[in-house]
Amino acid sequence: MNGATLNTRPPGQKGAVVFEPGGYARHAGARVAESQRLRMLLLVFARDQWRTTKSKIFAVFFVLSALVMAAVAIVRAKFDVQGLAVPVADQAKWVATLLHYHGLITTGLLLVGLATQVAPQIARDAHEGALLLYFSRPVLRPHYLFARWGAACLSGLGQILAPAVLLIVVLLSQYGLQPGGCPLPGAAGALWWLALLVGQALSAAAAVAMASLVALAAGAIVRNPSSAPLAFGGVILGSTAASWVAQAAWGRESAARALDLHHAMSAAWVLLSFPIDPARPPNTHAVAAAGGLVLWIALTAGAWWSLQRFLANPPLGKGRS
Amino acid sequence: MAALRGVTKTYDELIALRDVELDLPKGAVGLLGPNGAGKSTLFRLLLGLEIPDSGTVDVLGRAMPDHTLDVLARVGYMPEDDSLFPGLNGIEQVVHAAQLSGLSATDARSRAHQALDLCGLADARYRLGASYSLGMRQRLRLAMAMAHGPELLILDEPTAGLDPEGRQQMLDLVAEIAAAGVAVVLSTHVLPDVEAVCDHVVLLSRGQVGYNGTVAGFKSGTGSRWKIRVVGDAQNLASAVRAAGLECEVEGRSVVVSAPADAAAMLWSLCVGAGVGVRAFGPLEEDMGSAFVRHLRIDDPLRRQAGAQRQGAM
Repeated sequence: MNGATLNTRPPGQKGAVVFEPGGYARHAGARVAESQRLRMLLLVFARDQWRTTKSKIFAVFFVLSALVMAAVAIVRAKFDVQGLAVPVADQAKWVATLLHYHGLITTGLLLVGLATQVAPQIARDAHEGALLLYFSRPVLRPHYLFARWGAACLSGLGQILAPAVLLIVVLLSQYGLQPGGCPLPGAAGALWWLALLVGQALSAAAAVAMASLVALAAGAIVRNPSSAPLAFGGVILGSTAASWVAQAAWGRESAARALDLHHAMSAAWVLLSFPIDPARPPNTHAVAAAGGLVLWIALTAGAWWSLQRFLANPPLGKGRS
Repeated sequence: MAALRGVTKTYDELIALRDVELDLPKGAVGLLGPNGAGKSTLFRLLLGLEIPDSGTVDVLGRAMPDHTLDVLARVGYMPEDDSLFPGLNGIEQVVHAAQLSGLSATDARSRAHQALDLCGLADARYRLGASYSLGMRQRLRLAMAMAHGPELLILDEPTAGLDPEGRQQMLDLVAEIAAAGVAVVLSTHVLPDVEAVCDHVVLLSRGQVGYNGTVAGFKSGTGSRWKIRVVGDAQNLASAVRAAGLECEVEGRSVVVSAPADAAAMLWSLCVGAGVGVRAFGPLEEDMGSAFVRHLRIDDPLRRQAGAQRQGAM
């Protein structure tokens, strides 16, 4: 690869480099630092999330959910029709509920996205023999894991936060800085929206981080890209089914809700919304939310342990999963 | 280039490498051995993918696995498996590989194009790697292994599954890379490949080094067989040789004699005594296949060990 290199700048176009074929030559240039390699790995994995048409179409659903909610918010703010307009006294509570429901929808979509796009990633690398390609190059196993996890978090967080911000902007424009019925007086009341935004972001970040790691671990455990979505989806749906059965036995307002992993993803949101929505006392919802959060943390710890075991002795070579 | 000192590696009950002492010189080295001889384990130790139970492994002058990152940035590895990064086209595969090995995005893209040109994949660079034929995928993996300009290139079965033309192209490429000063370690079951590309051979057998030397030495072995092509009746010479107490076979106009490496003068005098004209005279050179089988028999470490024990018992 020591052929002549000709730098050209075609008129009106970007700079281009023309390569003349030549023989092999060693690389004499500099090599990038380890931190830069890790960042590059993260970027490659993040881009990997958006490579397929399916993933691009899927992202539209997140925005669509926010647009539908925003349309509802605008209609109920603008049109003073009996039964449709939100009474001034109920505005604060209604807005909180709307955001909560939107959180439930987007976390549901997120779980589907994690199952179909994130869970197969490590399994696919193992199945296709790509792990050997990574680890026979200067890539540490923890770096590989952090890059995969980081890319999944970045992508998931973007998918959750972008529509949430869109919805909050619409709600701000319709209901102002202090919607009617806000129980917090003065400056505290004015900070309500900020608290909601921060709460939504924290909740989303925690949910995405934990669920992404569990999804990656599901793929690492089954080691088959086709089965990985079923493994992760099975855990989530299984928890929902178990919660329903338990609710049927102990009652809808019981702590049985804690078993529902999807519902528990908005646990932080439920807990954060108490100070601004005193109409929602520390009831079984809160207990369920806290319990669900503990369940997620335990699941995340298990996922971390599984991934460490997997990377300690990974399948190196194609079809050696 | 690489050195193993007293390296032992076991997997549960299986001893993959047993107290291996090995120096891999610069140039092209062929790594031979039957299945299960420990070749893959040796590669994994060189790449820092495994840690030896005992002993030390040095690659490019650095101890493994303590300096794995530094060493792997200077090593290119083409695995035996049909492995590619999922979902990437040809150029992306090579760019990704080069970037992982520490090249900047610009350098990686530049060298990736050059590597694909060199490997004859220029026209297919924007096609998905998974859509390549087997031969193309082999060449793509070679491009991925060499794009970052390594000092040591480890090739595991690079010609497996290739048609004769593809195999020849691959060997030409490897020879060109070796000629450029890159140390190449080539593992293969196709023995003529080693003969075509390498000037040094390492034979692994049952986790131990059976042979470590030049290709010529591998083929000529101990020089214990001589081939004498005669003018006249070969049977006359055969009778004279047998009368001298040596074993021989007649192959047409040639006589193959089992005699020590320093028997040239004695054999010549036998020819003179038998009254035959000599057309060709010299140690019998085997093909790689025969030499491989002979070395496996002679250099089998367990066989050697058993022989030594028998002698000790006597």
